This record gives sequence, C-alpha cells and structure tokens, in this order.
Amino acid sequence: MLRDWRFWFFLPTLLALGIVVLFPTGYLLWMSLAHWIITEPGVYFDGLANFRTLFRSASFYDSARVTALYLFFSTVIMMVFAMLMALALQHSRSGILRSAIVLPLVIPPVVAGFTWRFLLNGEIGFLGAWLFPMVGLDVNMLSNPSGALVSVIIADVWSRTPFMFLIFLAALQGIPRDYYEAVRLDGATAVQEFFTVTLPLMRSAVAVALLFRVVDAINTFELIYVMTKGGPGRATQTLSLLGWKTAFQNYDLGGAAALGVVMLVVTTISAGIMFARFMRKA
Amino acid sequence: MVAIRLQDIRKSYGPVEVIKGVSFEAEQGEFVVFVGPSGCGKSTILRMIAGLEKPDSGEIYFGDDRYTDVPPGKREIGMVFQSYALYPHMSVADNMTVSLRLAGVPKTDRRKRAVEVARMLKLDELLDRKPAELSGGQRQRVAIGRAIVRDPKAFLFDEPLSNLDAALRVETRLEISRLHQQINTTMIYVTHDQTEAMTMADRIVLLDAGQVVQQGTPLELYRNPANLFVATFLGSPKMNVLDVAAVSRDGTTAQLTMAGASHVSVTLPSPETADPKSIGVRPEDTRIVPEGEGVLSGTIISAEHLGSEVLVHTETAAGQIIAKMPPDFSAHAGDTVWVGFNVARAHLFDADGLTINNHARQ
Repeated sequence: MLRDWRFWFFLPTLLALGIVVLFPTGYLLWMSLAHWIITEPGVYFDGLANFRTLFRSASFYDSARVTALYLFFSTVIMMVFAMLMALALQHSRSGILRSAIVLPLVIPPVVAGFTWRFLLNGEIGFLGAWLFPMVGLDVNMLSNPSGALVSVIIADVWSRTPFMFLIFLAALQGIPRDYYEAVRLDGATAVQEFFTVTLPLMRSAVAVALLFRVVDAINTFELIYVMTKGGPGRATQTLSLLGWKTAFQNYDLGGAAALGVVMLVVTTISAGIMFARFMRKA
Repeated sequence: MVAIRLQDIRKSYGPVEVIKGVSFEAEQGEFVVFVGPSGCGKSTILRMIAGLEKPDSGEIYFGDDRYTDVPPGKREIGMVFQSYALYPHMSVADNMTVSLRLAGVPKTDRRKRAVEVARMLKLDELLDRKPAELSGGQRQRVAIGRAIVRDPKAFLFDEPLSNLDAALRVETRLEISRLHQQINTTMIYVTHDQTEAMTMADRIVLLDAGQVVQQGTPLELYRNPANLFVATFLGSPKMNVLDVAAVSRDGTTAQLTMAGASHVSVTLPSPETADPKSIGVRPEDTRIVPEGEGVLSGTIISAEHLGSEVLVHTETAAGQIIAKMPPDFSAHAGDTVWVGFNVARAHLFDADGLTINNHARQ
C-alpha cells in the first residue's frame, strides 16, 4: 500500500480526520468507561459503572425530559416562524428587511442569552419590569420553573430562527415558477398551493433544517447557561448542562463522558432516522 | 363562433413595451400558432390569455364574456408548459388529476378519469410512475394529459416541443395535430420554430417586436408574405433576397438589375407601384442552370445532399443564394455555375421591405 502513490495523497486527509474526529471520539469512549473523578486519586477502567450511575440518577431523566420539551417546542415554533417569514419575503427585494431578520444569527448565543436575561429581568428589564406588568402579567419569567423554560425557548427561537429562515428561503426561491403557475391554472387557493407545490418541493430543505435543528437543540449550552444556569431548580437543565455540571461542578469526568456518549448516540440515531425518512425519498 | 378574442392588448415591463396593441380572434376549434423570433412577445400573449399576466390595457374575451380580470383558475384553460411543470413528488395519475383533487372530486372518480385520458395518450402503463422515471416524450404526454383531464375551453401550448429531440418532435407534432382533430377544442400554440407553425396551424399569427406582422393560413403566409420579415421567417431554407435597382419602367413592366447580373424583367401590379428595391426568390424557385440561361454567375460554397434533394449554396456578386436541386444533381464546392430564377414566382419588396406584388392566383 505504501508503494501506491495514491495512498500518499489521501494520507493528509486521513491524518486530519484522525486527529480532529477519531481520536477525540475514541478518547471520549475511553473516558466514559473510566473511573475519573478529579477530587479522588487514581484513574482506572471501571467498565459500565458510569452508565449504570447515569441511568439510575433522577437528574438524568429530568434533564432528558427538559431537553425533549425544549427541543420539541423550540423546533415547532421555529419552523412555523421561519416558514412564514420565508413565504412573506420570497419575492421581496428588500435587502434591509432580510438583513434585519438574519441579524440575530450573527449575535453570539452568549450575548443573545444576556440580552434576553436582561430584557426579562423582573426588576430592571424592559419586558419583565415594564411591559409585562403594564399588560397585567405580573410574572418574573426567569424565576419560576415553567416561565424559565419558556424564556430560554423564546431566546433560542429568536436567535436560531434566522438560520432556518435562510434555508427555507433558498429552497423556496429554487422552486420553478412553472409549478406555481400550473397549480394556479388548476384553480388552487393559496393554501392548496402551499400544500400541493411548496411544501412537497421543500421536503429536503425541511429535512436538512430539522437535522441541523435537532443537533443544535441537543447541544445548546451557552444560551441556557447565561440565562438560567439550568435553574430555577432543574427547570432548564438540559442534557448538555447536566454534562457541564457533572464535569465541572462534581468533577466527575467519567460520568460526564458517559453522558456525552449517550447524547452522541441519541443525536446520531435521530439524525439517521430523519435522513432515511426524508432525504432518500426526496 | 369566436372562442378567444384579444382586443388591442398592450403590456410593458418597466419602460419597455413588449406587446404593442395586439388584436386577434381564434374561432371555436381552431388551431392557432403564434410564431416569431425570441423576444417577440408570443409567450407573453399566451400567458395573458391564461391569466398569468395582466395586460396594461386592452380586453380579453372568451366567447362573448369579458375575461380580462378573471383569475387563471377560473378560466378553464389547459396549459402545457415548456418545462412540462410536472410535480416530481406525484405519480403520473396524480399529476394528471391535480385539478380534480383541488376541486374536491373523489379519488375513485379521479382515477377513472386519469385512466380514460391515459388511454387516449397511450400512458395507461405508466400511471403509477413518477415523472423522473419517464422519458421526455412521455413527460410531454403527461403534461398534455393534465390539460385534457379538466376538459378545458381551450388549450395553450408554450413551446411544448423544444425539450424533445428532432425525431420525437416530429412524432409529437403529429400526435398533437391528431389530438386536435379528435377533441376539436381551440388550441393556441406558441413556438419560434417555423416548421411547427407551418405543419400544425390552421392559422399562423406571425409576431415581431410585440406586434402582429401578418396572420393567415400557412400557405397564404408562405405564398404572399406581407413583407420581407415574413418572407424570410417562413420557409426552410430561407428565401433568397437580393438588392435590385430598376433601370427602366414601362407601365407595369420593369427591368431590374442587381450586382453582377444581367437584367431581369418583372411585372408590377400597376403603373403606380413604387420601384422594387429587393427581390426574393425561394430556393425551390431557384435553379442551377447552363451558362446563358442564368441570371447570375457564382461559385458553389457547399452542396448539402439531403437524399430527396440537394441544397446548393452559391456565392454570387449579389450575395449568397441557395438553390434546391433534384437529388441526382452533382455539384462540387468551388465549381463556377449559373443561377436562374423562376421570375414569375419572385417576390418584390419596396424600400420599406413591404411586398409590392402578390401571388394570389398560385
């Protein structure tokens, strides 16, 4: 093989892939099987003990539930908004409007998190201290459990919808005009037009957007971290926040790695299902 | 009975007026072909009939009813697009019956109608396939089927054959003509291909720069073109057009001269007719002849042997001339030959390119 000149051409790629993907993943797998708690001496192979502990802890199931809720609601709301905005702006030539919509995308999630945290703050925030009380909503969103989850979903939707909007807009603009004209000649209403032409022809774009979204939602960390740190209680503690707590508050690197492996498996399976379901047929 | 009538239709895109006052009528059951070079506005007119574009001024009538502002879905028109516009995610049957589904027709009735139309177009075996699994010609037929299914008042075809190869184009041309005879519905067909226009049309409407230049049966336009544009647009190969000057006039007889040629004597319709500035002779009225019988001498550039005939291209002092010769005619590039015309069938044009003689009796 070493005599084959072709080998030397793909060696750099192989090395790069090995260094940035295969090695860290392998290391994660090894960590997940190790007893590795920083405050305790010694690092040793411990079999599936980390996984056993993880699957027996209430906070894991709690975080999984929060993650599922967060994933579901943020995704649904995001898709609806992104689709409506893309439909509204598909024929618009106004670059300003489009830029305004895309703006949140270029704001780092940390900054977005802080912005929303201050907006919703019950004592000084524009929304929390001023607008909500004015319409009779006397709630401090961030300090009650369901309010906090709603808040992070709102902030996340605000921050990530533009990405989906861009995917949808590109897909919409790629649908040939003839399809719309043909269906209009066939007497379709605007709603029929959407379900007969637009949505079916956007199928792969929707699948791609969903794929990105699921991975993105499961991995969201910094936005929630700066807004609520997973609280109040465990109300907004998603799996990634649980991982952070396990590693950097409880110093249990092995346990955090086990959680990481579980998340990797879940993400890969859901992505695989979506890929098989939507992309192949499309 | 008039099926579709356009009355002084105008349309501009920004500062550019693309349709400059087009009026026209299609009789019930007539096959009308709009033909003209790219950008002449023929597709725009078709789209206005379909309701996909709104004219800036003028009226559109279907029968006696004003349809100018009626939305496309209410016009009961079947349109076949150049791209076919078949929905990739639907089967052939679903594609054909979209209009019925949108109108709330139950599934079994839709299927029945799809089978009926598919049989007519020889698509019965393909009903459950997706468009991606069909050949170009089959897709074309599905697109036509989709238009037939809804039993429209008129069919509109927007360059439907341009995505097909030459052999299939000829075959589909015949099929569309046969379909027209079978269902006898008004058809309006847009193309830039003069052969399609000549072979399919009951009536040709020839457009240039947003205006109707001439309309009539294919033979009328071929034999009596109103001007140089029509004369050179219709016919393949193109009509030979040479610049001439009248050297003497005696009533209705004029002696014409052209670069490098002896005089040609032509008859004008009346003594008042303006002097011809150019003469047009179709390749079939042009001959390669023995020296002494010809008008012009020239050099053969190429000879195209088509089997049924030979097209001889010659370079003369007056310009390039194409002559259609019998299949056994032997010609070689570089040969010096003489070119003769059937002057009785020549077309004469004035300084503005308008025809000054016509051939009504032919």
